[in-house]
Amino acid sequence: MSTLTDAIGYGLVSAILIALSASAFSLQYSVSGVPNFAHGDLLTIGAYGALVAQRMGLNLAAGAAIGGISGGIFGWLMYRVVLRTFVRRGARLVFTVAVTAGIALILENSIGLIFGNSNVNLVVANQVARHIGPFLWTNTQLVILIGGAVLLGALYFILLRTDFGRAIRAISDNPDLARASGVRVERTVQMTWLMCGALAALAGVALAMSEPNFGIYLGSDFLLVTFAAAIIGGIGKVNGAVIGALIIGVVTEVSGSYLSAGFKQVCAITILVIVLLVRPNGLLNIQRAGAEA
Amino acid sequence: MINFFISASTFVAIQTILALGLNLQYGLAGLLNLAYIFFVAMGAYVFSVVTLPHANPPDTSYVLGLHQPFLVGLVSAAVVVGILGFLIGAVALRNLRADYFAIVTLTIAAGAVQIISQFTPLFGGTEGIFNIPQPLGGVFQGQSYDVFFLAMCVVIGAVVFVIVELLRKSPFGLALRAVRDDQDAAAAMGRNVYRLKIKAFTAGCSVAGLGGALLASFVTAFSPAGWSLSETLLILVCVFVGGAANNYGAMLGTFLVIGLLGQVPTLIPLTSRNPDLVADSRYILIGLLIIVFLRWRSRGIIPERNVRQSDVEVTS
Amino acid sequence: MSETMKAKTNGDVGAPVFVVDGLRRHFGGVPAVDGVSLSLRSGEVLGLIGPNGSGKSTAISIISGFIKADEGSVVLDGRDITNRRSDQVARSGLVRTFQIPRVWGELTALEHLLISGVAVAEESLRTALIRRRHLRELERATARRAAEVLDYLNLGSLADTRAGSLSGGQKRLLEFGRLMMLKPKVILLDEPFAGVNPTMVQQLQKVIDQLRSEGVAILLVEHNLQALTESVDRVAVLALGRLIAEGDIETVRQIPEVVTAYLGERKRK
Ligand SMILES: Nc1ncnc2c1ncn2[C@@H]1O[C@H](COP(=O)(O)OP(=O)(O)OP(=O)(O)O)[C@@H](O)[C@H]1O
Ligand SMILES: [Mg+2]
Repeated sequence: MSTLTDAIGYGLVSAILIALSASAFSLQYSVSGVPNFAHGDLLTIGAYGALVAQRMGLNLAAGAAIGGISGGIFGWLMYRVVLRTFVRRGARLVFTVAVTAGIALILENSIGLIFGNSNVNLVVANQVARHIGPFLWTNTQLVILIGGAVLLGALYFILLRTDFGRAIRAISDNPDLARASGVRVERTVQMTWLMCGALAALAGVALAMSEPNFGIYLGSDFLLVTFAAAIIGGIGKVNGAVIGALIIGVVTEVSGSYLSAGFKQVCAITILVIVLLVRPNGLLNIQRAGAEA
Repeated sequence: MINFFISASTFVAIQTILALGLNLQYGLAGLLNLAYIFFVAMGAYVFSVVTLPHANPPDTSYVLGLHQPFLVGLVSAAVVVGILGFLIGAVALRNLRADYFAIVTLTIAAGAVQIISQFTPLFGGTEGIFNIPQPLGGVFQGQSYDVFFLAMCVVIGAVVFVIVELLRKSPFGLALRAVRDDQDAAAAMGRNVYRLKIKAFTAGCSVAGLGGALLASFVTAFSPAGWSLSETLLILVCVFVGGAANNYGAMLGTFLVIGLLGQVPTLIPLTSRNPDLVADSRYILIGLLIIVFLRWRSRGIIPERNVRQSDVEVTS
Repeated sequence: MSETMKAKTNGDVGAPVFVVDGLRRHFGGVPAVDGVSLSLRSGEVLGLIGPNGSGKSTAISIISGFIKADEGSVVLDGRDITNRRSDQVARSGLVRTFQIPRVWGELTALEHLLISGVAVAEESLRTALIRRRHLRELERATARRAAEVLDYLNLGSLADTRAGSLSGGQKRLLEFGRLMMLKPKVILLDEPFAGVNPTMVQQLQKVIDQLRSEGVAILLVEHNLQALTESVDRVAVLALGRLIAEGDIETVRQIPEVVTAYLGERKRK
């Protein structure tokens, strides 16, 4: 019995990480139409940012802030320097995908050049596990859960309650209409890439905290679950990303604890395949007309 | 020096086959298959377990071990990977949007690496498979064997080239290019987009499997370390550089990127401080090439070849 | 192009080839098409007009299988094709064009016609790899026909131009060229004259007359009445997803609801 609740508890921790990562990916996608395959590297940048801060003697909170800021800057640069021309030109979708994959190669290997390709780790406080309700969490996991929930809450607040959020939603809905009704599209898109870069990087810091050690593929390895969650929810939908994250996070942890750890991926893929077969547009997507886009 | 040249040429020949298969999927059908290297790997594995004798645990572990001749291995790789491509394509193409396809294939490939690494009895797990057979080892020796192997790859490459070229020029190829450019318009003209894409995907995967088999036989060892997303991008960049949808372009691109550019970073002096300098900078270079070509020369060095009026001039 | 020159039928001979009955489609509670019924005979041209957002394009998309209908039926030549996939609908002889011309950017004008002139069944691996002689004959025949159509459309000089670099009007002509190669039974045209210069409109009109004289039934969607020329046999008027009037041009012009529908639109703007 306790294994099940423990596993669900762990599942919630990975779910919140996946949710942060997948909603950042989905938001960037929905405002600019760019599926960012370098998304994982934003997480990695966050983790290495925190690492640098720690090596300079700062504490983990400051490290997270520095990681978040670096991720934001890189997210913004990615869009502003490279991707924007492709978006404006209305380049074929496969081009933008390939370009983001190219960016991923550059970032990963540059990080490798700077920090070396061997694994590193963040120093976290001693792990004390404690029961909270039915769940068993370490203090790091608790920090991740609470921090992640706060971030997600903040994201929802921004989306639902601020002008920036309204602009994001208007652009996701219909960029031309948004432009026509006075939304500053370009600025909003750039700000979204900045915000989502920071969000992804913070998820990266949390991910690095929860791993014993990590390397330059920290984030790109996390793309599997991020994408799975995003697809399950219906790409481009923040609500979908959160629901997909819950499903993927909990199911993989539970199956991983009962079967072998290798089954985590098998499960993630199986869920993905089932969703694709039953609802190719994701769980949250109502059928949209494809003809007259 | 001459040995290096022969083995580099063999590698380029095999990579050319891989590029031709990817060009069929990406260039003609517009399918950005980010799991391409996964299909190459499956070709390598299938070839290995078909040609190797029974596994001998705990030293080696893999399924089957049929101990069949080289050619049987080659054909099995092409057929089995084609079937696998068909099955995966049937699922991944359920949503016909190009970005969905890229994301789904990447996810499947990423999952597959982990699964194959974890389940050692399948294909040797992280350790991989060794002593993969090479054909006609008894007939040729030493350097003449290397020359023979190169010649064999070139011949197989030529056959693949002829086939993909016939496909490209056929009504099938033309329909694929239409689907690639605007699938709704293609559907409005009666084309079954899903079916055409699955066909192209299956055919491309089959070529990937064949190339993978040759690769395994050439290197004689294969493990999950050899196939990551970067490897797919490496083949993709050959297609971008040479010219998508043009098989001559894919050949030229492979020669330029793998044969020439790929060697540039080896000129950088190695220091003990950073042993990965060569590999890292090679991939950075590839990333830059993708961006630069798609930004400034998206049709590649030899652009797509259209059917011209002069090609079909009818003398009535 | 002069194969079977049928006499102008003016829509009063024979049974309809194409019948749409009670078509309905909602988008999130809002009806876009709300019980539309139409029928067309061979060689007949029916104009469908309506203000912005009245559901014309949606109706075309439902009929051609790009959007699923909530209710209603589409019957072509006695066969029920309701909610078939778009490519199946096209193969059964009903072909649409899009409001914004849709061509294959990297393909030349000639290639557009070559594709449209070849039967889908020939797009097999067998034809590509094995039936080489058959393929050569097929290519020759198709190329000959394509050349004729290109000349007919005055696109001969642009045969080797990639469609992506054609003007809007030329793209529209090319779409019409595809239709001529395909020879369908029913054609749905979504605002074919919009944004096309007057000379080219005449050319498009010529193609429409030609197709109709070959017995093709045509649904011609237009934004307003003025754009419809005398070649239209009947006119149907759509407003807010419903048909509010149907008849010949002059009669429809007099109907008060039609006037309101357009005035209403003008006020909105
Ligand atoms: N995919 C969709 N999702 C939601 N609403 C849609 C969708 N497609 C169309 N609509 C709505 O359905 C209604 C009819 O649209 P439609 O495009 O068919 O009009 P139309 O008559 O072709 O207009 P126009 O003259 O501007 O081309 C509009 O209110 C439109 O907003
Ligand atoms: Mg319309």
